[in-house]
Amino acid sequence: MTQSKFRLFLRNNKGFLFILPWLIGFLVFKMYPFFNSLYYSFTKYNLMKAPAWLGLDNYIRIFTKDKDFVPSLLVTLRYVILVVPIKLLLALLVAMLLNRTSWVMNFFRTIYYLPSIVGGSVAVAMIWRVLFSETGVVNAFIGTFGIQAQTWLSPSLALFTISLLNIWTFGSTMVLFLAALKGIPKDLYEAAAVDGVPRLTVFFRITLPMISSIIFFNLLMALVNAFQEFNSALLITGGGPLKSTYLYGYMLYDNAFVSYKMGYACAQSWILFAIILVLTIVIFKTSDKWTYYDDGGDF
Amino acid sequence: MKKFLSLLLAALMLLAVMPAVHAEEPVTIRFSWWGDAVRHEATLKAIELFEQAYPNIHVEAEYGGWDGYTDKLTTQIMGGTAADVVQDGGHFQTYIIYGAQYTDLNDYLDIIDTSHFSQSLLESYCTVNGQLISMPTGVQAWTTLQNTSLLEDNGVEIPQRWTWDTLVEASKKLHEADPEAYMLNVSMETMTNWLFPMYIQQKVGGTVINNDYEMEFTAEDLTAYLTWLEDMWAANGLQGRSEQLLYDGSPLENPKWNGGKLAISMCSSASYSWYVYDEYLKEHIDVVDCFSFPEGEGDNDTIVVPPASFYNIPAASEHKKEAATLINFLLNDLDAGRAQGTVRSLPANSEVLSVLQAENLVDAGIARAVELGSPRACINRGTPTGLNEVQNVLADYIEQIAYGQITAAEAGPQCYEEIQEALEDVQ
Repeated sequence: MTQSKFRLFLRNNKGFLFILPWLIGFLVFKMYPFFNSLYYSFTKYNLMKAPAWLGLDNYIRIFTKDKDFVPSLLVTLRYVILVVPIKLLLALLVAMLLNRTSWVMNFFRTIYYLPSIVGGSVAVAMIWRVLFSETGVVNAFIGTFGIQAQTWLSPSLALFTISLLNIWTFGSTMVLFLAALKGIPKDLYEAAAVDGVPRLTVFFRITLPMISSIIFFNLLMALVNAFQEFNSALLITGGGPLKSTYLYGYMLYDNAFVSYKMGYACAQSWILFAIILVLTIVIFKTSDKWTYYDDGGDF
Repeated sequence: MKKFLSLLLAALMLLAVMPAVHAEEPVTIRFSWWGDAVRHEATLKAIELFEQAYPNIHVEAEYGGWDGYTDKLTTQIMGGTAADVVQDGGHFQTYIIYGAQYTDLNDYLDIIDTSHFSQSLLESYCTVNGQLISMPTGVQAWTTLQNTSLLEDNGVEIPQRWTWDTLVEASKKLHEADPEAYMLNVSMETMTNWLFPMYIQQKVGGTVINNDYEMEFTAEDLTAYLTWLEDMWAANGLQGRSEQLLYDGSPLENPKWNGGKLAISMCSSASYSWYVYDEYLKEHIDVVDCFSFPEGEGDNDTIVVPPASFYNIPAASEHKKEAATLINFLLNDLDAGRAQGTVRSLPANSEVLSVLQAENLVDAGIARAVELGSPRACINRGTPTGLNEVQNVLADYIEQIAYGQITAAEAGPQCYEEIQEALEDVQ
């Protein structure tokens, strides 16, 4: 390449130079481990010895022999079904309550956002354990209403209890909803008011369609995060009791860092990736039926 | 000009002599360990003494809590970036040994003095395939802590030594007298990693799982242990599993224990000082003899006494000699021993231990635990380290028993079979 051609190349691709630090980080710390894990998923690898090629053995074993795989996947699905809708509804509800102009609202916005900052931390998980213990605050609170104390970490309630930890961190979802709500043109509401449209109809016909693109985004993010949940199971319940909170992410950790079956864990993580990918594609494909974009929605 | 030349010559000569004067080049080595504030302070003091004794070796200390320590260590060893001396918990050594990631200390016996260490301890716990891959930081005793006041106040008779069966009977009495009180404070790990091997070793003697990954006990022995747990739950000797699991990571932080509603806890003497900090406990807790079978029933009444942890030199270290010098100093130097006291449990070095004892530097609780445990101490570790899968299988069944999903009689043979499969997998 002559010097002038090189200059031309630089001039035309200046943009890449600006994102180069990110690009290098992305390639080294994301793409390389990503594809490397695909390779490991076809091997027996315990970190200490070099990986030994197994072909499809890990995958076959997961689907035919692993007695934890299906139950853990079902627990995770239950967790996703529990967390995602409640989190989105709660975030939307609070966002609508906070969508007013008053200095008090700024204060509340901060308060509701706080759990998102401290949410998944170890300290909070510890507090969760104390709150939900037999003699904890939660039982004392419901006791004031005459409700009998519950064993919150029993096999039937444990998943619900750890779900609350995720739902509690609805702050960032709420902020996005709030921004979307603020973006709805006022004249739409004014026109509805002039026509005397009932509030509920306004919500379903104006508000929801106008924020549908953000609902779509939040749904996707909540779904992906819920499928990968790990902290709460590790810190609060250790996957128990009776594996009722043995989430997929926790099973992965168990195989990778407790049993040092890295190859096997990589195979399991690729199966999780495939599941999330399929769900994402389905949501994407159906989204143009129920999302509305001001600009027509062309990416 | 002549003057200049002679000056130049003199300078050159000086330069040539310089390396000889500084024969021992300054070297910096890294040393990583985990622990609490007390251990950190004591270890830093010992390092200070080391640097005074060996001015050419500078030690960079890398320390923190236990959480995530092994994950970090494994990653560092694999990446060849681990410190020159590492403290290793021992439970995952197997994995590292098979990859030969630790240095054979036999090559450094001219630096590390092992004469004050029990040779059987070194053979059982530190030697693999003839390679001495670690040195024990200290020996620990299995410490049984008993809230004597709780038992006495509720009219429970306290025997000289608890047996597995008298514990069940006493549990019933205690819980009847005080429905909030339970006999044993245990975590799942206590049940799978400590009580299980102890029960089996006492029952059948010797080894639980041998180094060829074969079980040396029968399905009946396993069923007997699971039945004992089942009986303990039935007698309300153990808290309900849903409450118990909240403190699986740290049973001694269970508020029922600190609040005087749990009668007996167990811990290693290595972590003893971390737990008996509570004013209430200090007043009411006694160190008592560990339980066993009644005389004549079991094959022996041993308690496993593994080293508290180990010092190792990762194979990738570039300063193995200096690392060995540090290990030797930490374990053999009397002043270093005094500085460290019992922060890594009782020193495995008999000479250092007798100095500490003579100078009253051993905590009374730990001393009592060792006094009770020593005659019953079993050096044989019973199970190869790193058998996490076996523990997982056992934990699954114990939990099912706790929730009444399966009886111990049904669980025993099934669990035995699954442990067999898990062992075949490890092989």
